[in-house]
Amino acid sequence: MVEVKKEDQALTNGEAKSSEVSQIVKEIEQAFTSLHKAASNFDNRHISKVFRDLVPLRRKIKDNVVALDIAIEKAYPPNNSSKEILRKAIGEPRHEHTDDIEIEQDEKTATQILPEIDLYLHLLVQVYLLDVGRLAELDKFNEAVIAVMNSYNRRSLDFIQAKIWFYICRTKELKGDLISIRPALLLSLRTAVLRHDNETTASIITLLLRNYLINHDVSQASNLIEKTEFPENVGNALVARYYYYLARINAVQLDYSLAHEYVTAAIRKAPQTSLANGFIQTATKLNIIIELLMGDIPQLKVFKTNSVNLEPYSMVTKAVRLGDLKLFGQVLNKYEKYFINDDNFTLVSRLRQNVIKTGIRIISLAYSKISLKDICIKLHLDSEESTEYIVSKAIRDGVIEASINHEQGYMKSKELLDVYSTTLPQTAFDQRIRFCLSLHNDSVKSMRYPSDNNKLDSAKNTIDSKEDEIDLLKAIEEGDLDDFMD
Amino acid sequence: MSLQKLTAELYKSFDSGSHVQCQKLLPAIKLELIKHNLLLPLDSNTQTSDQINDLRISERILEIGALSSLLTNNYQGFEGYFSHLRPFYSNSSLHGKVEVNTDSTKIISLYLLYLLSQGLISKFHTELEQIFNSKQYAIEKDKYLQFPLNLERNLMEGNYNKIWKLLNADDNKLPCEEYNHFIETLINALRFEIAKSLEKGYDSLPINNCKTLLYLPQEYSPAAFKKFCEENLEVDNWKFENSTVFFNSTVAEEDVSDNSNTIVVNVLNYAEQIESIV
Repeated sequence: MVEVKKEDQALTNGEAKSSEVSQIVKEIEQAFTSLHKAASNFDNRHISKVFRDLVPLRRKIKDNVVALDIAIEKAYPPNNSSKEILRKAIGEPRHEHTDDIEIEQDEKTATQILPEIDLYLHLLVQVYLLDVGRLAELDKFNEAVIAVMNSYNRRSLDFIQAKIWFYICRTKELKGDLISIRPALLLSLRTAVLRHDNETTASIITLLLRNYLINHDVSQASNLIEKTEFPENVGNALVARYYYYLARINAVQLDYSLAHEYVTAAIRKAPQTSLANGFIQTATKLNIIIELLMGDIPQLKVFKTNSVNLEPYSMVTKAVRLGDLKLFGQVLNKYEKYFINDDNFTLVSRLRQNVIKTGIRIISLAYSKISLKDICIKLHLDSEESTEYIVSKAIRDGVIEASINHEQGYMKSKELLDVYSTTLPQTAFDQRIRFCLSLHNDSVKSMRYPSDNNKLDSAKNTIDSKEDEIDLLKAIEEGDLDDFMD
Repeated sequence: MSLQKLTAELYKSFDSGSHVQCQKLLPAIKLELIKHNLLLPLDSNTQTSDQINDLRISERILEIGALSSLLTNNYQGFEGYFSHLRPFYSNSSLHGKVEVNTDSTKIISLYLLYLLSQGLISKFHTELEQIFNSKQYAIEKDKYLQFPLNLERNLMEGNYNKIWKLLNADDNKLPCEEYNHFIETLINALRFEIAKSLEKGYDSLPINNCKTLLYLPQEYSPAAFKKFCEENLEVDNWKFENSTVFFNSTVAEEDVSDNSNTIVVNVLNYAEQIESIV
C-alpha cells in the first residue's frame, strides 16, 4: 500500500526514517482491521487487543507524528470535517513527508469511515498531545472529541469511549481545573447508564470519584456511590480502581473493616505487572494505615517485598506496635510532608489513640495486676485520672479484657478466654469456605464458550479463529494497563 | 420591603441580640436574595467587584442566619444555613487568602462542634478531611478550629479529664461565646460516654467515686444520683445498693441449641454447593 519513492539524493537517514514511518502506519492500519472485526462481530475482545498494542505504538508515534498524520489522511474520506480538526490538532510537520509517500485511498474508507476507527484516531491524537505536553491544545481538542462521541451510539464503541474519557479527565487534572469537567462527566454518565454501556459507565464513575477525592470532597464522592450502581463485568483495572476509591472513602468515614475489605480486593484485582506498580504501592500504603487503624499490625512481608520505599509507614507501624507515644510523635513530625503528599496524613494522625491502646494491651498482657499510676508512667500520659478514663475506654472498646478497681487504683486483667470454646473459629471457617465457593462460582460464570456458529465453519476457519482466540486471550490476560497512573 | 431595608433591620436586631426577631426576618430576605441571584456564588456573578461586594453582604446575612438559628436552638436551620454558606467559603474570589480566626472558620468550627455533640463522628471526619487539605485554613494557628479538633482527639482516646477541663475553662478562655451553647450538650454526651466506659470497666463502684468520675456534684443524694443516671445515661443494668453501684456485666449466655442450628444450616449449604460442583 505504501510505496517509498527512492530518490538519489535521499539520505540513508531519511530513508530509514520514512521506512519507520511506513512501519508505524502499517501498525495503525493493523489496529483498523481489528476494529473492523470488532465492529462486525460485536466482539469487544478485539478492541482489548488494540489497546494492548497501544502502549508501544504510543511511544513510536511520539517520535514520528508524521505517521499518525498519514494514517489520518488515508483513513478519512476527502471532505470529512473530523479530518481537518485532527490534522490541525497535530499541527506542525504535515507537508514535509507527505510527498515521499504515495497515498492510496482505500475503497471502503472512501465512502464513509467506521465510527470505531474515527474515535480510535481521535484517541491517538489525544495521547500524542498528552505525551508531548501540549495541554492547552489538547484541552481544546477534547471539546471536539466530546462532540464526536455524542454523535455516535454503538455498543462496539464502549471501550474506546471509556478510554477517551480517561484522557479528557487526565488533561483537566494536569491543568489543575477539576470542576469545569464535572457537568460533562455527569451528563455522559447518564447517557452511558441509559445505554447500558458498562465500560464507559464504570470508567466515568471512577473518574468522577477520582475528581472528587483530589478535591477531598468525600461527601460528594460517597453521595455518588450511593446513587450509582457500579456495573458488573467490566475490566479488572477499573474494578480495582473503584475498590480503591471505596476503601479511601470508607476509611475517612471511619468504617475501617469495610475499607479493609475493599482495599484488599483492590490489591487483589490489580493487574500483577510492572505497569500497575504505582497503583499497588498506593493501595498498599492505604492498606497499612487501615490495618493499623483496625488495631492489626501489618505483616513484615508487606514492607519487604515492595520495591518502593515504605520507610515512613514501617516507622509508624513500629511506633504503634511498641505503643510508644513519643516515637509516634517524632515519626509524625519527621514524615509529615511525606504523608500529606500521599493524602494519608489525616488518617495517620488518627493513629494516636491506637498507639495508646496497643500500649495498654501490651501492659495488660504482661501484668495480671498493675496500678494505674504505673500505667500512667509507662505510657507517658498526663495524669492518673486520665489514665483511669483511658483504660476504662480501652476495656469498653474491647482492646483488653480487664477490670479496674477504683478504691485501690489498679487494673486487673481477666483470665484469657479459650478461643476454641467460642463460636469464633467456626465463623472464621465459614467465612473462608464461603469465599472459596464464591470464587469457584465466579470463575465458572466467567468462562467463555465458543459460539455455535463456529461449529458450522470449515476446518480452516476454526484454525484461524483459534489463533485469533489465543491472541485475544493473551490481550485480555495482560489487560489494558497503560492508564494506571494513580 | 426592599432588600436594603430588610438587611439593615436584620443587622440591627442581630446586634441588639434579639435572635428571634432575626429568625422572623430571614425568610423574606432569602426570597429577595434569590430574586437578585445572590444566594449562590457562581462564575457568572463573581466578575465585577460590585457583585463580589453584594455577595459578601449575602454571606454575612447567611452567617447571621446560621448564628441566630443556633442561638435559638434551631439546629436544623443551622445545618441549612451552613450548607448555603459552603459554596461561599469554597469560592476562590470571595475567600482566596489564608484565613485564621475569621468569621468563616468560626462558623465551620461551630458546625464541627455541632456534629460532635450529635455524635456524628463520621461526618465530622469527612468535613475535617476537606478542611485539612484546603490551603485556605491554617488549622494549627486557628483558635476556632483547634477547639473541636482537640475535643475529638481526646474523646477518641478516652481522655475525658482533658475534655472536662476544656469545656469548663473560664468563659473568656473559650474562643467565642457561641461555644457556650454547646457546652451543655457536650457535657451530657461526655457523661454518657463515661457511664458506658464505667459499665464495662468496673465490677462495682462506690457511689461517691462514681459521682466524681461522672463530674457530678458531691451534694447529690444517692436517690437523686440514681434518678439522674436513669434519666440521662440509659443505665438499665446498674444496681444501686448500699451506696455502691454494681454493674451487671454478665451477658446472657448464647443459646447453645441456636448455635448447633446454624452449624447444621451451614453444613447443609456446603453440601449443596459441593454437589453442584461435582
